[in-house]
Amino acid sequence: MIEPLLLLSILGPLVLALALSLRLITSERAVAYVAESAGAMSAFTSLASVVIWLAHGARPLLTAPHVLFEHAGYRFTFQLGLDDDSVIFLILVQFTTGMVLRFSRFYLHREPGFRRFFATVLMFQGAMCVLTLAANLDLMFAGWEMVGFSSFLLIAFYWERHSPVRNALKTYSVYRVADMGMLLAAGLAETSNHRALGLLLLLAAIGKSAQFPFSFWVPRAMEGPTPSSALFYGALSVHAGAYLLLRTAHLWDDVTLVRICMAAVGLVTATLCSMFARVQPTIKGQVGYASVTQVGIIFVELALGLRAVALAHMVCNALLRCYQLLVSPSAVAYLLRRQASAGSAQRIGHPRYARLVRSWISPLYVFALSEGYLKDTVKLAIWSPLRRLGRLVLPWRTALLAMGVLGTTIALALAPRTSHRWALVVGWGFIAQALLCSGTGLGSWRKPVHAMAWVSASSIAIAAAVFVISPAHDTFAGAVYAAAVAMLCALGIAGTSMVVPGGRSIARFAGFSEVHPLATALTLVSALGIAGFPLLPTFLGEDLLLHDTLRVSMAASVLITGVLALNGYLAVRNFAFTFLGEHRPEEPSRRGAQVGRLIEGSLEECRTAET
Amino acid sequence: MLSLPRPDGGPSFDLDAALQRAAHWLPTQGPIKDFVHHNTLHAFEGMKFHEATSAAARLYGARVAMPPAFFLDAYRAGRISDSALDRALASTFANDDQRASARAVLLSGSLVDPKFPGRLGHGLRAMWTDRLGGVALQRRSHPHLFRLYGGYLDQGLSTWHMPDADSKGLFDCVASLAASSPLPLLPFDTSSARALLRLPARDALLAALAKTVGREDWYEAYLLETILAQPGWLGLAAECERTPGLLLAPRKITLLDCVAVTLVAELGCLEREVGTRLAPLDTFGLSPSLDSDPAARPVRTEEEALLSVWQDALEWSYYEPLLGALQANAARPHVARPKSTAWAFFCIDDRSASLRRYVEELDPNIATFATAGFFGLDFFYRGVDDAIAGKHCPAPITPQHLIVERFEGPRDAEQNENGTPWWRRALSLEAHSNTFLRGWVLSYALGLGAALRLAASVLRPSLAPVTVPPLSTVNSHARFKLLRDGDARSPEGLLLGYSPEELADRVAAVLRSTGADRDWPELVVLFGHGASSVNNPYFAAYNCGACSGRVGAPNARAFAKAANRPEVRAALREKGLAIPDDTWFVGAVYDTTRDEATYFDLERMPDRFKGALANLQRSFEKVSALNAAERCRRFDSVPERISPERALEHVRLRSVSLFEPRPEYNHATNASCVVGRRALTASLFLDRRTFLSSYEPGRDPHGEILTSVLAAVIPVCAGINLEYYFSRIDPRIYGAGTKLPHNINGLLGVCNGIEGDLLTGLPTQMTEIHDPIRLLVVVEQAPDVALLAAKRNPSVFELVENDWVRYACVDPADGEVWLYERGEMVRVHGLAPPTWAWPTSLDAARQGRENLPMGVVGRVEVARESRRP
Repeated sequence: MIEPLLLLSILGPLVLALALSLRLITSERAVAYVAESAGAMSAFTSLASVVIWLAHGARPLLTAPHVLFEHAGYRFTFQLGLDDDSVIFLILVQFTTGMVLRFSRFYLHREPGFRRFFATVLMFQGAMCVLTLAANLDLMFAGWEMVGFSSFLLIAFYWERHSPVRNALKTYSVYRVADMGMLLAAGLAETSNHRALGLLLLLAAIGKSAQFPFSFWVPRAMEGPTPSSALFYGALSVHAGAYLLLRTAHLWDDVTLVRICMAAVGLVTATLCSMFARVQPTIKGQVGYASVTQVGIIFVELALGLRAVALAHMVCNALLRCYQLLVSPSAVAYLLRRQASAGSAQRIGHPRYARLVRSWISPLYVFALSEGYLKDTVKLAIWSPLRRLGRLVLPWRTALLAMGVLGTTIALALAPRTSHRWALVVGWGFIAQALLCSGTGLGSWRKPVHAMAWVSASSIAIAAAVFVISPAHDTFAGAVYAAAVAMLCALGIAGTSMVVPGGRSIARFAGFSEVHPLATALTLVSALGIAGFPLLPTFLGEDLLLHDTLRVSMAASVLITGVLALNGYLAVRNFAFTFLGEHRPEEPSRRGAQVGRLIEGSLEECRTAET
Repeated sequence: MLSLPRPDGGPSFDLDAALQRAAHWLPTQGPIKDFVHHNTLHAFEGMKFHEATSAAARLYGARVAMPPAFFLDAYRAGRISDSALDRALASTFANDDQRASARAVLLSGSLVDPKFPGRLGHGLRAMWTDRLGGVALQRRSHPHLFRLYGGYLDQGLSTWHMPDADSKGLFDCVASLAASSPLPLLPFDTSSARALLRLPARDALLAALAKTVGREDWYEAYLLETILAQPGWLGLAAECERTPGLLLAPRKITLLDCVAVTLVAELGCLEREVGTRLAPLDTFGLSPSLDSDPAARPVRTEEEALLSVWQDALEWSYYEPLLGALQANAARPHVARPKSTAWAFFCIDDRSASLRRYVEELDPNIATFATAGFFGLDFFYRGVDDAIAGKHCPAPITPQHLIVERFEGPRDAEQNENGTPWWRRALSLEAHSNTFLRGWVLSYALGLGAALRLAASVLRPSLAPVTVPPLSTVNSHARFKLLRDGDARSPEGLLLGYSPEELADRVAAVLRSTGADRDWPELVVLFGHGASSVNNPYFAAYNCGACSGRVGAPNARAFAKAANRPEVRAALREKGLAIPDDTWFVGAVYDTTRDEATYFDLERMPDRFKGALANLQRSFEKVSALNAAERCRRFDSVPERISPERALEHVRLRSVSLFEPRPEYNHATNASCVVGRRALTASLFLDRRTFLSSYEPGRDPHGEILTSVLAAVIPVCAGINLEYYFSRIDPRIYGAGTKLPHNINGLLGVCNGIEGDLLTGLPTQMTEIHDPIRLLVVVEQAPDVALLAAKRNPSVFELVENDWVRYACVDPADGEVWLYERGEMVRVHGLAPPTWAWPTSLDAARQGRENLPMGVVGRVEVARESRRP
C-alpha cells in the first residue's frame, strides 16, 4: 500500500513537470491549477504513506527492490525506504514546497516565465522526494542531479540578464564538484572502503550544502524570484548535503578521519559565514549566509553523532530561513519602524571579537567583506588551471585529434591481447586525451558547435579508456555511454548550428533562445543528457563506466569522474553562452534604409517648417 | 561640453565642473523609503519631448518609445483611431505623398524598432577595454564597488558597519581600511592602486585619470561614461550629496569620492587582469568622436520620427474624446448648486476621481472638491513612528515649518516595539538570527514558529509583525503641536508650528482656489490619502505624491484643526472669509489599497455635528465597496463582475497578503488632469485616469490663482505621469524591471542578486497595464488667461512649452477648447460629445479590464443613443 503511494508522490510532480515543459498546458490559470494539484497530490500521498507507516508501528521500512537494470555485476535498483529521518525530511519537503507553490501562484501572476517556473519547481519537488526516500546511493544520485539542474534553471530564471546566468553557472560548477563525489561514492557503495566512501560523501555534501570552501555560491544564487530563493537556498536545496550525510551515517560513522574532517569543515564554515552574514548589506545575502552558518553547525552535530539533534536543526533552520526570505521585501518598512521606536537611526556595530583590540576591526571587516577570499581562491585553484589548459591546447587541436584517432585504432586492435599493466597505460593515455579534448572544448567557447564536438570527442575517449582498463574489456558500458553521448552531442550540434552555423563565433550570452525555441529545446536536452540527467541513457552509462573502472584503479576513476563532470558543465555552459542572455541582432535589418528612402527628405522639410 | 586645452598649456580640466555636468545625467532618486515620483528624464527637460527621448536613448542605450508592434496592436484593437493617426501624420509630414507612404510603412508592420547602444556601448571605455584584450571592466570592478558603497551607506541592515563610516568620507574610509588591514582589500591590492589610495580623493582621482586616460581633453567624456556605468549607486550618492538629511544615518557621501574609489578600483582590476600590458587610453591612437554632447539636439532617424507619429496618434486617440466630453459638459447650462450638507475634500490624485464620482452618485447632498493632497500646508512632520522628520508637501517646495506628534499618555504596550520580546522580533528580519550562537538557539526555537507563520500567511493572510500596520489602526491619540509659541526654531532652523495668521493664509488659499468659500455646509471632511501594503519595498510610491511619497493624514488633520481653531477663524474673517460657527472640519485619511476611511480627532467634535458625520460615514462605507469593485476590474486574478462586498473583502485581503506583488495598481493608466469646476467633469466616467483639481475660473480673471494651482498640480502630476511613461517604455533602463527577484540593499533601494546596481524607476508590476500617454492638462479658463497663468511659472511652463505635458483649456464663456501647440493656444475643431453611456458607475466598471472609451454615467438624454462597447 505504501509503495504505490510513494511512487505517486514522486512521479506525479515529475510527469506534470514534463507536461508543463512540453507546453501541453499554457494558460496561466491552468498551469497554476495543475501545479497546485500536482503539489497537493504529492503532499497528500506522502502524508498518507506516512500515516500508514505510523499505523504499522513506525519501524524502518524498505519497499520491494525493483531491479531496473542489470549488467555484469552492476545493478540499478529502485527501492525506497521510510524511517524516522526520511519521514521527517519528507514532511519538511512537502510542507515547504506546498507553501511555496501556493505563494508563487499569486506572486508570479502575469510573469512571462510562469509556466517555466512551475515546471521547474515541480521537477524539484519530485527530485527532492527521490532524494529523500531513496534507499540506495544510485537512486539518490538521480534525485541529486535533478535538484542541481532545477537549481540552475531557477537561478537563471531571468535569462535575458547576464548576471543570473553567470551565477547559475557558478552554482552549477560547484554542484558538479559535488556530483563527482556523489558519483564515485555511488560506485563505491558496496565496497568496504569506508574511509574513501566517507570522504567522497563529505565532498558531495560540502558542495551541495555550500560548506567551506564553496560557501560563496549561496548568496549569489539569489537571482530568481524570491519564492524560489526561499525554497532552494533558504530551505531545501542547501540542506540536501547535510541530509545525505545523515542518511549515509552508517557508512562513515566508524571512520574517525571522516568525522574529524566533517566537524572541521562545519566549524570553519559556521565561523566564517557568521562573519560574512554580518557585513552583507543586502537582506538576501544576509539570510543566505545565516542559513549556511547553521548548516555548518549541523555538520558538526552530525560529526558528533547527534543525529536527532541535527535533523531537528535542519528542519527548524529550513523553515526559519524560508520564511525570512519570503518576507525579505518587508525589510525596509520593518527595520525603519524598528529604528524609529528604538529612538535612534542606527546602532553602530563593530566586529564583536574586536571590541578589545581596535586594530582588529579593519582586518576583520575586510576579511568578512571579501567573503574570506573563498571565491577568488576556488577560482584560482580550480578554474584558472582548467582555463589555462584550454588556452594551451587550443592551437594543437588538430594534432590532438589525429593522435586520438590513431591511438583508438591501435588500442582497439591490440586491447584483448595486451597485458593488464599495458592496458592501464593505454587507458591513462585515453584519459589524458579526454582531458585535453575537454580542455579544448573549454577554450573554444566562441564556436559552440566546435565546443560540442570536442565534448563529444572527450566522451568517446573516456569510453575507450574504460574499455581498455576494465578487466573483461567489456564493450557494453563504453558502447552505451559513447553512443548515448554521441547521439546527444549530435542533437546539441544540430540545435546549436540552427542558430550558429559551424565556423561562426558568438559573443558570450548570445541569447538565441529568444529567436529559436526549437533549437533551444534540442540543445537543452542535449546539455541535460551530457550532464548525465536521470532518465537519459548517459546517466546509466556513467554509473556503468565507474562500476568497471573502480575495481581496477581509484585514481583513474577519480580522473574519469572529473572529466565527466567537466563535460557536463561544458555542455551546460555552452547552452548558456549560446542561448541565454539578451539577443542582439548582428545587423539591423535593411528595412530601415527602405523606410528612409520612402519618405526621404520629409523630415528635413518638417524640421525647417518647425523652425 | 568638452573643455579644450588652453593655449597657454596650463591645466584646463576643471574636475568639479566636469563632475557636476556628468552628475546632471544621473537618475535623481533618493532612498526608497522616500520614493517621490519624478520625471525620469528630468535632465532633458530643456529639450522638446520627442527630441529628448531620442537624445536620452543615445545616451543611456534605452528605448525611444514603445515598440512598433505595440502601436500596431493598439491600432488594430481600435485604441488608436484613424483620425488621430491622420492628425499625427499631418503634423509631422508636409505633403500628402509623404503622409501616404509613412502611413503605409506604419500599417505594414515593417517599421524597425530603433535600438541604440548608448554611450557605454560604444564610448571611450568600450574602445579601450577592447584594445586591452576585451577586459570586462564593469563586471570585474562593480561587485567590489557595490559592496563598498553598500557597506558604507548601509542604513541599518548589516550588523557590522564599515569602520568610521559615520565620521569619514567614502574615499577616506576605503583608504584607511586598505591601509590598516594586513589582509588585502580587493581590488586595491596592486602597488599603484595602493599608492593612489594614500593620496587625497581629488588627487587620487586625477592621478587615476592620468594613468588610465592620459589625455586631458578626454577626461570628461571618460568620467561621464564611468558614472553612467553605475547609475543606481552614483545617482543615489549624488542625490544624498545634494540633499543632506535624506539618510537616517548620516554619511559624508560625495560623488567625487565615489568616482575616485571607482577609478582606483578599476585601475586595480585592470592591473590584475592585464598586468604589464596596461597602457593609457591615449596610446592606442584612437580617434573617438567626442562631439556628442548629451544635451545636443539629436539627428533623429526616420524610424524615430515614425514612432513619434504613433505616439502622438495614441495620445490624440485618448485626448480627442476627453476634450469632446469636456466641451459637451461646458456647453450644458449651468445649474446652481443646492446647498450641501457636507463637503468632502480629496487629493487631486487620479485614484480619488472615482471616489468623488461614487460619493456624488450615492449622496447628492455631499459636494466634493479636490486640491493637492498636502492641503496647502507645507511642513516637515515627525510622527510618533518616525525616526526623523519627513517632508509633507510637493517635492519642489522646501517647507519652513516642523510639526511634531507626541503621545498624550503613556504609549500602549502593543505599540512599543521595544517591549516586544527579542525572540518574537527575531522571527522577522532582525539580524540576531544570523549570528553563530544566537542563530543556533534561535533556529531551533523559531523554526516551528516560522512554519506556522508561513502556513498562516499563505493560507490565511493577516497582519504579521513584519507588516506595517494599516493606516486605520494607526493610533490617533497622539497630538501634534500646530500653533507655535513664539519663534522658537528646531536645530535644523525650522519653525515649530504655525502662527494663526500663517494658518489662515494657507486655509484661505485652499478654500478660495477650489471655490469652496460660500454656502457653507455643516461638515467639511478632508481626506488625505495613503496606502498600506505588505512585503512591498515601494510602499512610498503608493502614498500621496503631493506629500512627497508620504501619507497625507497629518496634512488633513492639521488643516481641519487649523480651520476649527477660533483664532484662525478670526484671522480668516479679517480676510473676508467667514466660516460660520455651525461648520466643522474633520481630518481623515483614505487608504487607497484597503478602501477604508479613518477619521481623526472626533473626540473634540461638538455633538451637534455627529449626525452629519454619521451620514457621511454611512455613505462612505458604500463608496468604499463600490470603489473596490471598480478597482478590481483591472486585476486579472479577480473574476469580472465581482460584487462590491466581495470586492471590498478582496482588496482588504490583498493589502495584507505577503504573496501579492500588486497591492493596488496605483497611478497606472493615468493620462490627464482637469483643473476646473466639478460641473466640467460631472457625470463623466473618467476611468480613474484623470487627476482632478478644483478651480473656480470666475474668481480668477487674471489667472493668479490658476498659477498657484498649476505650480502644485503640474510638477506632481507630470512627475507621476512621466515616471510611469518611461518605466513602461523601457523597464530595463528607466524602470526597475520585474519586482520578483528584488533584493533590499542597505535599506536604500533594491537590486537584483547581491551584486547588482541599485534599480531606479518603477517595477513592471506597477506599470504593466499602463498605456504610456503624456499628461493632458485641461484648465477651465479663457485661452489667453490660461496661457498667461502657465507662463508666470517658468519651471511649469518649460514642461508645457517642450511638450512634456500637453496643455489645453476649455473657455468657460463659450465652451470652446484650445490646445497649446507650438507657442500658442490653437482652437480645436471637430470635437464630438461622448457616445457611450451607462446607467451607473458600477455598470461602466463591469465592462472588462481594458481602458474604457469616454462615456457618461446616469445621464438619461445621452443614454438614449448609447450602445454597449
